[in-house]
Order: sequence, then C-alpha cells, then structure tokens
Amino acid sequence: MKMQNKRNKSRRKFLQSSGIIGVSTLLGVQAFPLSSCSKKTESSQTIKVLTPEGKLMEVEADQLQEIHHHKPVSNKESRKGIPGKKFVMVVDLAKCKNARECVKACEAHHNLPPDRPFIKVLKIQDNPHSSPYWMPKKCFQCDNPPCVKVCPVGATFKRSDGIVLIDNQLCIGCRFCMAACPYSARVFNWGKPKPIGNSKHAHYSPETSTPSQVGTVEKCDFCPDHLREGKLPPCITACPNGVLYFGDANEDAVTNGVDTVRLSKLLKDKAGYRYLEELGTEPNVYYLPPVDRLFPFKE
Amino acid sequence: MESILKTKENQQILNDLTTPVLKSGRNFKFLMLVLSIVIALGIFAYYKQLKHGLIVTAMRDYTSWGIYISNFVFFVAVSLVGSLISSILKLANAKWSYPLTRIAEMVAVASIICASIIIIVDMGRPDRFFHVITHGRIQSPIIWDVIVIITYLVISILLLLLPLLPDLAICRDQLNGIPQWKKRLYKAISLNWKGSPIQQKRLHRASSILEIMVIPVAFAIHTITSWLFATTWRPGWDSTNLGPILFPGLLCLEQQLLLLQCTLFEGISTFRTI
Ligand code: SF4
Ligand code: SF4
Repeated sequence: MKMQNKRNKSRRKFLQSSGIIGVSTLLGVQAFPLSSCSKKTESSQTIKVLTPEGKLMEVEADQLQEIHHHKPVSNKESRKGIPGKKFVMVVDLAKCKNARECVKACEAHHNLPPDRPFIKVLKIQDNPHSSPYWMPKKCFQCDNPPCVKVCPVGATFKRSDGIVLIDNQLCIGCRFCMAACPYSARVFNWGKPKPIGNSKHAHYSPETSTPSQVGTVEKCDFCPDHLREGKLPPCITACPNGVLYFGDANEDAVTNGVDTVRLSKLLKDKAGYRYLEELGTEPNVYYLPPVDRLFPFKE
Repeated sequence: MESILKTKENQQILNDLTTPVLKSGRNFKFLMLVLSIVIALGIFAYYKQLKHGLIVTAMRDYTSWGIYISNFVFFVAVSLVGSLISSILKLANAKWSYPLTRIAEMVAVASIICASIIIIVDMGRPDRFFHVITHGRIQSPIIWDVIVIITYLVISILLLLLPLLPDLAICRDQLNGIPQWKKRLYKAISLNWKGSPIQQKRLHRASSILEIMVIPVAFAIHTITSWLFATTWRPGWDSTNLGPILFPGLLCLEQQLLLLQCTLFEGISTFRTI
C-alpha cells in the first residue's frame, strides 16, 4: 500500500488505518493517476467507498490508488504450480458456433495482437460426406509434453498442476519447441509485440505471459494468475454457448461458468476423446464429439 | 633445413611459391570485391532483422525454421569434406589425394564457421546465446549440436593448421618487405617451426591422432543434426531412419562440392593434380 502523496499526512494515516484503499479497489472503484495530485485543488471530486465495517465513507478521488492484491508470482515460484491441483479443460464441439468470444477474451487478457492468437477456431471436416464443425484449439498442456523435452535452456517447463508454461525471459527463440509440438499450439513473436495497454500487463511473470517479448515463444497458459485467485480463465466465462468447461481433475469437476458437472461422467456419457491420442502426449484438454448439434454449420 | 634453402634451385622454387602470397591478380581482386559486397548485404539484412525481429524473414509459425536451418544442414554437410579427404584418405595412404587436402580443409573450416553463424542468425534472441551455457539442458539435442560443432570446429582448425606449419614458417622466413604486423602474425601462427627432426616427429604424431579423432566426431555431427529433426513430430522427419538416410546424402553432396571447388580453382590458377 504505497502512497506517494506526502503532503497530507493526517489524511494518509486515516486512510491507512481504516483500510479504505484496499477495500475501494476490492469494490471495483476506478483508480486515479497520481500525477493529478500535484495539481490538486480543494474542490476535487470525492468518491464513496465502503469500509470493512460496512460504513459508507467519502474520500477525495485523487487520494485513491489502485493496489494489486495478487502481485504476479516470481519466475521461480511460477515453476512450481498450485499445490494439489490438476487442471483440465473440456471442449464440447457440439456447441461451438464460432462465436470467437474466447479468442477475443484471450486477446484482451494477454494483450495479444490479432495475428498471434493463443486460441484458434478451426473448421474441420472429417470426410467429404460429413458436415463440417468448428474446433477451438489451444495448448493441450500435455502430461508428456514434447515441447518441454527439446528446449535447450529449460525456458518451457511442466508444473505440478499440469500446466506447461514458458519463461520468456529465458527463451532464446530457437523455435525447437514449435517444431516439436504436434498440435501447433505455440506462437512466436516474429515482430514487435503489441505495446503494453494497461498496468495489469506491465509486470512480467510466466503465469501471465505478458508483456510479450520479440523473438520468444508464447502459447495458451490456462491463465494461472486467474486460477490463483480462484477465478476461471477469461475464455471460459466469455463463451456465450457454454462450449468450454474448466476444472480440476482431482476434484473430478468441471464448469463452463453456468453448469458444473462431474468430469468422469461427462467424458463417459458423451464419449470424450483427446486429440491425436496415439502420439502418447497425454493432453489435458478433452473434446466431446460434435454430435446432436442444435444448429446447422455456418461459415 | 636452412642449408637446403640455400641452394639455387630451391630458392627459385620458394620464390615461385611465395610470389602469389604477395601479389594478387585482377581476377582475385574482383572476386574479393564481389564477395565483400555479398557480405555487406548480409550484414545489412541481419541489421534489419535485429531491428524488426524475425518477421523480416517471412517465416511463420508453421514454417518456423525455413532457409536458415536448411542452410545450416548444408554447411554441416559440406564441412565433413575436410575430415573425409584429409583424414580417411590419408589414413588409407591414398597419395593422389594429397593436393586436395588443403582445399578440403579450408572448405571444412569455412563451412563449419558458416554453420555456427547461421545458428546464431536464426535465433530469436541472439543476445541470450549464453543461456545455452548457463542454463543448458543436456537432454536437448540443441545442446548436443552446440557441443559437437564446437568440438568439430576446433579439430578442423587444428587439422588445417598443423600441416600448414612448415609453409607458414617459409612465409615467415622468406617474405621480405611485408608490413611489420604481417611479419609478427606469421611468426605467431607458425608456432616457432624450425623443421627439426623432433618437431617433424611431433607433427606427424599429432596429425595422426587428429585424423583418427575427427572420424567419430564427423559421424556425430551428421547424426546429431539429422536426429535433432527426428525428435520433432513433423511428418517425414519423425523417424529414427533419418540419421542413416541423411549421412550418404551428405557424403555425396560434399564430394560434389569439392569437385566443383577444384574445377574452379584449376580455372583461376595453375593448380594441377599430380
Ligand atoms: S499442446 Fe504443444 S505446446 Fe502444449 S504442452 Fe502439448 S506439446 Fe507442448
Ligand atoms: S523457443 Fe524458447 S521455449 Fe522454445 S525450445 Fe527454444 S528456448 Fe525453449
């Protein structure tokens, strides 16, 4: 909780003791840039915030500063994984309409340019007689990941919770992992990355994959920063059709944000499968076959 | 050795030998100019790549290695020529191959240097090259490649340098009227060669050891490079056969290249095979 305005000591003390600053951000109150402090006049705006005791208070707007509750974890910490978890995703191909909301949510969360998506929604037609369907594809967080095996510097690694991450401060950009991944899940920063949009993207951690660096690889990371806060990855909540389920295999439960279902039962009832199972990569993303579709295929 | 050099005919031969070192013809100068332009273009292109990222190469996620790595394989293949000609044939006592030796060794050193440069050019983050040493994982074929290329580079340079020592000594002793720094350079790289029997014997021993050593290293460099590709899941590469398949192909390539080299060389100079 760092306050940079040194002028108003008494007010600062008051704010700290009542913990308003933290609470106000919890409630989603917009932060104000501190640069306006220097130009502050007596008639500046005030904002209502709630204290932990439930009292409504009024604070001058420019006294507020956003704080980050969950500082991005360090590169070393992010190699360990969240204890006791085993994250899985289930994609119900019967429901996907190519709404592309997951792609957009991912782009916003990871500050990606549109030409380097982590999620690709592919049109698949198994044979000339069957109807085509849409297949959202991302990194499958393989349990036997070929990409991790070939990395010369250990920049990409497997965690105890099943997630495969990349430390882009270590990556030398040899692109061996891209050649090794049978699912073409990885994207390379061929050119300069998108400029940093907001403060959320400013501090690097392998768990957020932002900010990107030119000449390094990236891919879907299952958003461990959200998982640490007990939130679902943005793509799951963004999907309007409930295609994507996310959960913990140890708890045997997955949710698409609306329904929570038993993972084993879902896979059993709907004949879940993993993509290119015969390669032995042991993906952690399951697909439910595109059967009983509720709508015709549209480009 | 001094006494042999004193006779008149020998002096004549030595003069003939050392003249091309001092004087270069028009063709040679033209060739150097053309090559310098090519190198300058390459440096400019690399500068552009450093500035804008690998996007300037038009490689993309599905074709992520492109011509850089094809070139790398090419140069690795060509580099084997040095070890092949200068060691296998020497060990087999094939005297006809001696005049080819030096060309082959030059080609070997040059191409292995090119191969290592291309790897660095291909890297997305050349500034982090030393991560390969500080964070290297022996599990990755790239680390094997780095180790074997460095080993091969050292051996090829030695293979080139050792038989060159007597000639460098001649340059040191015979060339007069060259700048002081060149004199010093010759003095430094001729490693105090005097041609005494004990030096001759040592040189012979060292060459034999190197000639034998380079054969397994050459096998390693080829098979590591080919099996590096086999560790990926790309169709066509994903096969343990890739090592045995690539090896004969590379052997053919490098012999053809040597032939080409000799033909060109014969064209521009009075080089003759015995
Ligand atoms: S899908 Fe590809 S990038 Fe993701 S863990 Fe598997 S091999 Fe690695
Ligand atoms: S591109 Fe980066 S993460 Fe991928 S293998 Fe090379 S160093 Fe490792």
